[in-house]
Amino acid sequence: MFASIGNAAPSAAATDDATLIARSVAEPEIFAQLYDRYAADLHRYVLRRLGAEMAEDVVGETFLIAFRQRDRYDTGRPHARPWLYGIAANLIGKHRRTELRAYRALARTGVDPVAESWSDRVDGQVTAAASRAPLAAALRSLSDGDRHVLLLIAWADLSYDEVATALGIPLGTVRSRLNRARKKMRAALGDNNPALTSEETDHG
Amino acid sequence: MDDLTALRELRSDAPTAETGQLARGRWKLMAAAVSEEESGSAPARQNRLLRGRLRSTALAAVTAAAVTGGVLVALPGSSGDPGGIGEPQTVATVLAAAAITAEESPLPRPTADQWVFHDVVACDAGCGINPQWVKGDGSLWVVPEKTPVPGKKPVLEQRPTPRHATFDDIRFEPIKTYDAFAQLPTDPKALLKKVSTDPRFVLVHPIPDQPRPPVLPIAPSGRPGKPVKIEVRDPRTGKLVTRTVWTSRSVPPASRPVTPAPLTPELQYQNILALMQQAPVIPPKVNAALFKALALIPGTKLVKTPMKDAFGRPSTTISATRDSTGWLPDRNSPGKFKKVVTHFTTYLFLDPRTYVFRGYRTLIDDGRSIVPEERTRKATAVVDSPGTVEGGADWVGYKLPKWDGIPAPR
Repeated sequence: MFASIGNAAPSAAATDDATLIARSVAEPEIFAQLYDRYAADLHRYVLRRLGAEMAEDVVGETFLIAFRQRDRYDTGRPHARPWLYGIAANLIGKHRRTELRAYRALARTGVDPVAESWSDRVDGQVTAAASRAPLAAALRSLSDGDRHVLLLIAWADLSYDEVATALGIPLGTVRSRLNRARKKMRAALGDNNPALTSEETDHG
Repeated sequence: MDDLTALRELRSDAPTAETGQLARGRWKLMAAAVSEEESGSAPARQNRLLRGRLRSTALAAVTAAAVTGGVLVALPGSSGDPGGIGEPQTVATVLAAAAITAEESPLPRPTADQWVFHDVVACDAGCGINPQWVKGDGSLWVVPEKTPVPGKKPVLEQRPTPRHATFDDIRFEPIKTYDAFAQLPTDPKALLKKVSTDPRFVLVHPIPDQPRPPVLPIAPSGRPGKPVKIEVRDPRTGKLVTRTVWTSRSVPPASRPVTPAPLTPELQYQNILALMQQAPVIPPKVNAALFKALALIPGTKLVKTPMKDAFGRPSTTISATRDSTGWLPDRNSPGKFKKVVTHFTTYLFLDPRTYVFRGYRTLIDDGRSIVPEERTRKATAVVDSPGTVEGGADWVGYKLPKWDGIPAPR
């Protein structure tokens, strides 16, 4: 009895995502451990983009899609985070109009319907940072691809490399999209800053 | 301000999801996993053959429920069913998921020098916190001072472990407990039979359905139990001092029969919950099998109205009811007895995300009033020293939310 207990599966902390995903092909229920690792982070990211109403469903759907595609996961990549954010990006894209509507409302009225979905401090929001309205207008003006790159870096803390993996685009494209997106952000904020600084934050 | 910094501040007050908000997604994932394994997508089927081990009948039940549709339940934390997505959740699916979690998250067999930390709350008229550390070999038992200050590390009191003098009580010696459970069968049917008949594992006892004279109190006068010396840290000087305390009366009551009376299914259910509560560290395979054994017991229901336990946590809840017949001396007719039927409803609380066992509440309804009792755990861990929690940090006192124990509309 003890021998079998001693030979139990390695603890979650000791197993990288790729190993876990590979094992889950044969033992599906193991995939739930991936949910425990990333669902909360992913939820907060989707929450910031789409609001509370959508976040739960988008996160649930992301993991179901990931689960169904797990046998195609590239096990050479130990971290599954970019993969999950990539799937989520596609799903967020389906709610593009909801996302853009909120940016427009924030840009025009100073009230952010997305932030309202988790907070009832409307008064506080109105008097919050003056930069929010122009930022929202700028976010709305971005192409979908540029917005994904910018927000995966700013809100999800992905590295350039991870963004490239997540969206399935070359690293050079990540840089050019980010550059373009940040120019618009800077213009929206009044362009007071010196030349763009490299913000490469490689977490890998 | 740098543009990225400004952007990072936008909506940066977004909160991290609470457990309940993520529960539905995890449930759907687990249902998909179980469904795939049973219906046999190519990789899962192939592996099942390779592994050569049969999945539990409980898993089959999960799939059947997922396919044919069971009770539609909105999990705690979700607001009804906004997207029109209802998960068919049944007692069988919930217990099957709990079994999977139990098997995947083992607590280690403690060594003689380690301590089993068990942070539990006991409620009847009110709730009291009962954190305790029992040494692996069962030699010592450490509890904090009676009224620890919330947020503060308490003064610890070290006591001899309570033991039952006359029979093999497995509950207070963690290694012995673990080893005893390790020898149990992992086939759910065999396990249910064993824990319902082996006196070491039978913790609940039916009341004989016949009149009997009133039971005399065990200690009719004076202090119950016997005196023992314990070491206590003086809160002012910090020094260890010796104090005499009186052990409470024997645990469990000395009237416990050597050969237990047969348990009804309802009592079997109650007994397994008591085992889970009182033996927190047991082998994961047996723990999983206990959930599968619970699934074999008829008459249980999934509670549709989310219930909160004594810690205020919304829980996935399964209920079972039983009637117990007793006899009371009839005041109006001396020497005669009258029959009293008491209705028990026991709620099993599970973590809505992981389905980990949290505890249970029993409502005792004697026709005149409903009295609630609850035993719920906050944490269980194997730690290196008393007074610490998992990870080695100090345990600190805490406050419990208001508790009335009786759920809103049932």
